[in-house]
Amino acid sequence: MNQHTQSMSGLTVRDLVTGYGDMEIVHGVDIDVDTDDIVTVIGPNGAGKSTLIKSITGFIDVWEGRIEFGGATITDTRPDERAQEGIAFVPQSENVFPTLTVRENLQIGSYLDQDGFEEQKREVFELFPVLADRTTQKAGTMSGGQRQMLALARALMIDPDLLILDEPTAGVQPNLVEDILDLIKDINDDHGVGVLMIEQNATRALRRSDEGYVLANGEVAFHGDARTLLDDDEVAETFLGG
Amino acid sequence: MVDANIILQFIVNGIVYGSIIAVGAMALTLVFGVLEFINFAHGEYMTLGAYLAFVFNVQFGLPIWAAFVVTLPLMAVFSVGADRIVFKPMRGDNHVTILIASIGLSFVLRNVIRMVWGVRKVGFKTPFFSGYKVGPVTVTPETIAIFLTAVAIMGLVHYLFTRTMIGRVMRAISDNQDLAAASGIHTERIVIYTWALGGAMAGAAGILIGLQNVIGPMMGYNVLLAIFGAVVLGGIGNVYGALVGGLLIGILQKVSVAFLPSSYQITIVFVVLAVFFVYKPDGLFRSTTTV
Repeated sequence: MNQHTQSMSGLTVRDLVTGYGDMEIVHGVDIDVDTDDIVTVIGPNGAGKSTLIKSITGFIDVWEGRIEFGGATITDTRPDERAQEGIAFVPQSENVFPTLTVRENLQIGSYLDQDGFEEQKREVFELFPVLADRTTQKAGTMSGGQRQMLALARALMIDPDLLILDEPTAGVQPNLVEDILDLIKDINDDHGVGVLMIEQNATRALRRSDEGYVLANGEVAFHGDARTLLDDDEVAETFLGG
Repeated sequence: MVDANIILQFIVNGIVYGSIIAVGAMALTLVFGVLEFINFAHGEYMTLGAYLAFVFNVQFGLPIWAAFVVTLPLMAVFSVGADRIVFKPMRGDNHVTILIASIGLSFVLRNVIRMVWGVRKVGFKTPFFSGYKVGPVTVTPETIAIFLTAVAIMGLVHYLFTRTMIGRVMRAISDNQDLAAASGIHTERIVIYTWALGGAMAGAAGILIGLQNVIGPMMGYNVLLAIFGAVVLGGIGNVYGALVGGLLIGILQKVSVAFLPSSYQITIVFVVLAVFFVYKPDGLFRSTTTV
């Protein structure tokens, strides 16, 4: 599924400092995501998780430090240029085009590779059969779970090497949370797409992850193997709800 | 009691006038959808379109349809140029700053038009003769041509929006600019196409107004309020809403002539604007059903 430049290095974030206005929120963060792995970032509200993701996807400026992807430095590039490098981003909310139909959302998703639309569409419909029956429905009229699936499908249309997800289960019915996380695992396993996600359902997300980071006060408080984080008493007590 | 046939005549007049307002409103709301600001110079874009067509039609002797066709690309170029010079340097600034700049541009354009073409009203040279009766309603070939042209423009915009990537991308940016960027779309490039289309449509609307009425430096400004009304009625940023809003405003304004002095037509727009701002600020159709 990958046509983009493959690199052993995946995503490398070094000494990243960023924030909004005068307020520094992320104070020197290092993150590595291999394009075979699922990496989950957890942490309390206000830890800077979303800010971190926004700077990695190019929506806010990097103040200090650098971001590399597939061996290329992307620190100062625009969001659309990062998409071109093979980074797909699904924001937490407003992650579909509400007045566009399902089909049109996917067409926008394949903007960078319009000739590959039909083939790519077949692949995402295999992952999300519910979308195949709703191609003419406007995205704004779909339920939270369906919309989340469309958001993932839209992001996969560019055939990415790395999928960045900001709370993929937010606003989804509780019984669908496991399904969505399983789908993300499938995308990673079967399609060789690396995943970097923020997730509130920390335990459930870490169970499906290779690595985990705990972000607190804009710094990496813990980092390691997802299993190690799950077993760590201190992490469990502080961040996984005991 | 007002004669029903007269009302019918006013409704027909309203549909024709409304179709012009609709084209102007679709252009204004399209630019708003992508750039998130209301261009107050939009009225002068229409006026300029009418005068450019006047030059080709009357001074160069081209038939009106040819003058129309030649003017549209020029208006597209003008609109993109105005963006480069006036609006682009302020992109990302406070929205109010850009709004005020567009008011400034409106004054500059209106007065340049006065300097170049004078204040005397002029008209196109058309081959059209007097009207004929269809049942109780009198129509002129001009009104039919105006209406069909407006409908053709609406059809082309609909085709563009639903059948072409560039049109879909404009709608996508209008929905969510960041998500469009995350999909690999360089929005600044689409901004150029949007201004080009918006400028050409504004020019087309101006020519149609000139055909229906006369050409003068205030012609665009005079219908700007009706266009705002149509845009608000349809939900700001909603191009299809602006189409419906334009037709409704046009019919309301023209039918009001049956009951009120004709100088009250603009009051109708104020009433519609006030009612909608208070009770339905999202317009007749909410553009989304997002939570």
